[in-house]
Amino acid sequence: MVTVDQLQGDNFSSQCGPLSLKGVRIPLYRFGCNSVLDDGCVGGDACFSEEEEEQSLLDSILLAQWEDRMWKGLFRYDVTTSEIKVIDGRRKFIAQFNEGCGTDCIPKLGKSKISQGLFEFSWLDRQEELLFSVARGEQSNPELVLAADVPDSALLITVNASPVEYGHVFLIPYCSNILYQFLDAKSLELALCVAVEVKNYSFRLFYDYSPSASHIYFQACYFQIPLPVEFMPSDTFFIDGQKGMLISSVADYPIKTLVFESNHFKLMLEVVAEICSSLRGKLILYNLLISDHGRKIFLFLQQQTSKTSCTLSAWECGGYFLFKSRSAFDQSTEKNLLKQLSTVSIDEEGFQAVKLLCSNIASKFTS
Amino acid sequence: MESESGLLEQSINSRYSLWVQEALNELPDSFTVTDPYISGQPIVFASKGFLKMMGYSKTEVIGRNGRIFQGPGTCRRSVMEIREAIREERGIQINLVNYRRDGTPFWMLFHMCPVFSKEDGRVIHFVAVQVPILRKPRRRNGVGLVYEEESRVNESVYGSCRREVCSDSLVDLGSALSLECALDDADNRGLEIEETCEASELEKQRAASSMNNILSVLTHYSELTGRLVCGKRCNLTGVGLLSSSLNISLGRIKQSFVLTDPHLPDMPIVYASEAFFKLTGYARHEVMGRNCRFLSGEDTDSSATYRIKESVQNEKACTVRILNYRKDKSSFWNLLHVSPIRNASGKIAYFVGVQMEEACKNQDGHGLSPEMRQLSAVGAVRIAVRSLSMGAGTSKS
Repeated sequence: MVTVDQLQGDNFSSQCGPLSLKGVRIPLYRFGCNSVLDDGCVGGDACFSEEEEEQSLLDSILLAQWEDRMWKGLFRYDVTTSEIKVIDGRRKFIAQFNEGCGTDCIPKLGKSKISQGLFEFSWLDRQEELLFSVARGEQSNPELVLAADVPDSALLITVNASPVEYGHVFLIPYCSNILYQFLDAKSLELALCVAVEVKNYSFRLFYDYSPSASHIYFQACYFQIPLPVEFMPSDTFFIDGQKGMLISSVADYPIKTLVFESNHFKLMLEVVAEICSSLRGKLILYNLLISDHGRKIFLFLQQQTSKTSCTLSAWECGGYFLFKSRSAFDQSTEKNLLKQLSTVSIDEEGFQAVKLLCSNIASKFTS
Repeated sequence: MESESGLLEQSINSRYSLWVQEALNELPDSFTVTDPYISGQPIVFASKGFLKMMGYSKTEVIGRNGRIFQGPGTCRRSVMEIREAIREERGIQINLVNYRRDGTPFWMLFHMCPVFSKEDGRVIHFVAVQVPILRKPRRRNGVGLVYEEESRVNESVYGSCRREVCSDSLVDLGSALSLECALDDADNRGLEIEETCEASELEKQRAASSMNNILSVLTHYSELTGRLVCGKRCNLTGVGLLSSSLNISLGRIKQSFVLTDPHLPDMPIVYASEAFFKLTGYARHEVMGRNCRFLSGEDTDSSATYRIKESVQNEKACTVRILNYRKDKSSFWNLLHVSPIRNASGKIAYFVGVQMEEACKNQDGHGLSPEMRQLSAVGAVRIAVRSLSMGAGTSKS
């Protein structure tokens, strides 16, 4: 396992295995250059009145491509056959009974792809798993090219053959045969653009930081109802009125969680990327959950100890759990899940330090 | 086929008779009625008090979704809670920032209740009462958040129209409010709107009694049509009826499709999209409850219908090229995709049939092929149905 110190030599990316997409022609979705990220503000009339009235182009492409692969039998199981339920209790945790998923701890990321819980780039022998790529565009409106080379600074969208929910995909930052090793503002921006342009309340994006990962990737899927953490009240401790940025701590939740809200995506993602980079330097494990059309970013803070046998994924931190056995599913209680979450959480002292760190970084960007 | 404005008017009149509009307008309260069974959950009635308070004319509001009154200052979490209340078909009382037509935001107490059909227990309408909250800075807001500071926002921002808020130089200040948040005291210039606001007991009572008055008018007038409604859910007896929330989710999908219920005799249609009516020329009441075979005609190949039957029996998806007939007897080649759709228990709840007219195959939709649009509709239906009947047997708070 590579240690964090070793990795820190490089600034943001490094070569990680030869990844040649030469000759690979897949659909390409280009963001419009009038993206809300450039306006810096989502307060537009149109955003509020027309949103959700119909499927966006990106939403349609993602669903169509995913459904197409389901139809072609690329998945290890049909995730819609697995039962889901709300667990009794105040937090309304969600449980899924899924015999096909990996362990109860970390869902398996696909055939021959699991190596210490990490996604490996072995999919090229099965190109159908590559759905399409996403990149910035020059046109004012978003466009779809049905077959194109993967451009530089793109996100590769591939299926997860062991989906946790419908539409489960990997979003892999890609730049001229290089995969990113660390989360930076550039890759976070692309992911956030996807969340904004899919424009679907059910769509949620995830990022799990793992010190041993060879390269970074996001994950996304559709949850028809919000994750339990999204309903929790929060206490705001950082407010910047001028730039419109809020940082709050989620109250009454077993794992220490922060939530970032802003209508200025650019500012928010720069702050979050900087915070993530600092957390990496401090050996703090974290996960991100992006919801509400990219307007909210949840940051879950986990401790890294030898006692913690496994870390939780971002959806588990958000309150969505998978169970491999029927009995574990039937017997799951809020109490057990609370314990599972609180076990991995950083302690109060560490949390206060992270809050201070966030305030400092956010002030730096907003001043 | 019903015209859209006809559909909106019928929503009220067919249930409560022609005279109900007058009676509702006699109430002094500010409220709207929405119909979850029409695509987009539009407002079908807005009271005089509401129009006056918001500064809109009736025609500007009818047919629109209530979210047009929200703006950058509206708390996203409160919006989520309202959305969840609609999904769970329950009432909700919450403090919310709404925007008048001239762009001024104000706090109001939003009190929403579903109206149920007495006959089958399904939701017919949602009534939303709005009571403006008199300015009273509080330290807690409607959803229990605690903030230390008070917020004031430069009046010039909110005096301007919302589009301008977005583009002018004060944009930063304007969007700050979207976070239902406090601003630095140093930035105070002119008092405008509190970041958090709690309705007084009096305002809560006012909202509740307005709601009671409205519900009793609706109940009374529903007796005239014999299609009774009530404010409390009676037992859901209607078989093959889709919940209002599922209707709202399905309403977003613009392709032509139907849902059929395999648990009912002869697999009747329980949902048909607007595009389906446009494609086939049939009206809603002419297709609901019927088996899809009415689309077939004398030249329809029986092997195609057999293949559909077979895939339904095997619980498998299939795509079939089949000759179908419109209401006016004209025929078209339909590239039909049929697939089972499962609910939260993982069991098949419906079959979806997505139609695609072969002649329109080359029609461009932003670069999306018709096949892709067809599959994206299937995906969207799966997501909408996926959480259905979830948590049945668990207590809902």
